[in-house]
Amino acid sequence: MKNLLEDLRFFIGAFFLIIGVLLVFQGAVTEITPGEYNLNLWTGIMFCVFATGALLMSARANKLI
Amino acid sequence: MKLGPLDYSILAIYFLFVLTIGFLLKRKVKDTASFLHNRNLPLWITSIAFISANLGAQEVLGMAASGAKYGIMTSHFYWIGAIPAMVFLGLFMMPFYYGSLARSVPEYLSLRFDEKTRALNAISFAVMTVFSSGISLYGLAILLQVLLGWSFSLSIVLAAGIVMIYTFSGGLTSAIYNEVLQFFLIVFGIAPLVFVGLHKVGGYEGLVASLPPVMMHSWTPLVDSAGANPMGVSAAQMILGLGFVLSFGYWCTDFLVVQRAMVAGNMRDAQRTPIIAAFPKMLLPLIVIAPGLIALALHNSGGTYHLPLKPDGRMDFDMTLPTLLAHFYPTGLLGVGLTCLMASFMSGMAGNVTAFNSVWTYDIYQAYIRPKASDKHYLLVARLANVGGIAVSIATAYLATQFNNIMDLLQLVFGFVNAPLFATFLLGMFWKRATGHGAFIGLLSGTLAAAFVHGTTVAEGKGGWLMSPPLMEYPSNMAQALSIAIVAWTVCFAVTVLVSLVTKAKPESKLKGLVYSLTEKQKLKGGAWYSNPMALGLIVLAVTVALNLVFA
Repeated sequence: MKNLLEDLRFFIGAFFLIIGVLLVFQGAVTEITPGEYNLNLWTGIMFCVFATGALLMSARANKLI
Repeated sequence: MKLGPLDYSILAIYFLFVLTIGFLLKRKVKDTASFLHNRNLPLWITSIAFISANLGAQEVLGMAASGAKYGIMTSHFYWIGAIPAMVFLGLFMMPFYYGSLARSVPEYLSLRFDEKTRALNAISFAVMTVFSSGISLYGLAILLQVLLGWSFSLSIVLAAGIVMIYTFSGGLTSAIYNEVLQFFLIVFGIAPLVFVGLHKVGGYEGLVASLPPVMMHSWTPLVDSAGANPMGVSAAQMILGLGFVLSFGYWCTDFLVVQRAMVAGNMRDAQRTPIIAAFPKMLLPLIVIAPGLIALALHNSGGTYHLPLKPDGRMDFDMTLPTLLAHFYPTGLLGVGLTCLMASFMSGMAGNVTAFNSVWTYDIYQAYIRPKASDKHYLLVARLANVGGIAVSIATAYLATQFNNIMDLLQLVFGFVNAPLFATFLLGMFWKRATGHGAFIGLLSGTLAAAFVHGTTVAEGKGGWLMSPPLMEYPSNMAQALSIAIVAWTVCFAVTVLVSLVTKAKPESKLKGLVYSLTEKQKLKGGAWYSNPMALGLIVLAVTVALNLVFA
């Protein structure tokens, strides 16, 4: 755990995961005008995908998986 | 711009993360080396930090503004004004910076030349960094005042306080870690704006159709109508002034960026840091310049978005990015956009403060004030310098509210000092006959030459303070700045050569590892071809040439 807390990938992953989940939630509960993009939802999903990649790399580097 | 609770929450989460990173890295700080120049960071971190250190708010807001003002010609600041210099730094200069075991750029000057050249560089750099940090702080506070109605003092205290806590705790490593986080935040935070903006203007074809042809070419306007294009510069001025003097002067000698490569774990990684960084740097115009083009296209289309105006009726290009964010981003993403802007201001400030710490502690305090103290003492001095640097930055920000012109004056003086610097390093690294007297007098002469050209010429009403009527009038401030840079570099180069020829050079035995012809060439053995700095550098240059041709 100590190594994980010194791993920047873990921090980047955790940060983008939290923000991504908040954006996905906001996007899911907001009504969107037809023809417009649900920017919160799609950006949130992009953040979550990126965060998952960063967290997986961190976990692998720290031999957690 | 009106923020909701979710937007404020996102901002608060960012602050929490940067402070946590600082606190967790605190336990790794045991001596001055771990606080100021840790040489153990992995390549991916040093490479991203290398470009992120330059991706401050002036760049993020300024390039969007230039995109709206000058169009694709702004890409010259990347494809001519950065990439070739970054490759040169990696291939030819890092072996001397890293191999000499110098802890800073001024310390290299002391090893190669003498103490007075180091002192001149160290003092001018230290003054420039704390004032630049103050300019960042002032810019942030003004932006938040205009956009959100926040109090100037609250913005200053909040931003400076957070930067001070995390740099005081974790030192250079903490600043670098936060620069990497900031890089991803800026890229992923602004990318949706480019996507939705392009969609609104009808894609790339729609963008081309909405803008005048001069805005969609990088080289044709400079070649066809030198002086009459929006930048007011010729192709020769662009290549010599920006592509050679200013670009190499900044990317190859400014300790703020070079420091990011100097903390790599080994020589090969130190060399590869600026070259790997060049790959994302090539694509950054998509994130920072494209919003400016989109804003102008939307403005011209007569829709609901309009470029903001200044009180005198002229367009306020500096507010292009914030107004686009406010126009397109809903609650939630708006918080991400604002966090991007705050992160870029704070990161710019932290980068300046940590570079100032190193130069103050090693090149001023240890070199001239108290040379033989304990490491514990220097660690304390570095931490105090951190607090002192931020205090001066805050004072500068407040000073700017009283004397707005002081910012212009400071940036002008910085330009005079920076322009000739690359000549000194080029001669120092590649000509063993260059002497300390030559370097010192050359640098002073180059700086004075820069001031002289500015004082005897005018552009857009600025300059000409030495002579009336002036010797010459330039079509734009940029044309004047590029000419000043070319003259300053040439004078510094010529004077350094002349003075060196009549003064005594250092013995060759003392120049090993510091001058190209006297340094054993290292053969980088092992690893795939694509990990070789030379191969990577050639790929970067080939892609850069292709980008210049595609958008010519």
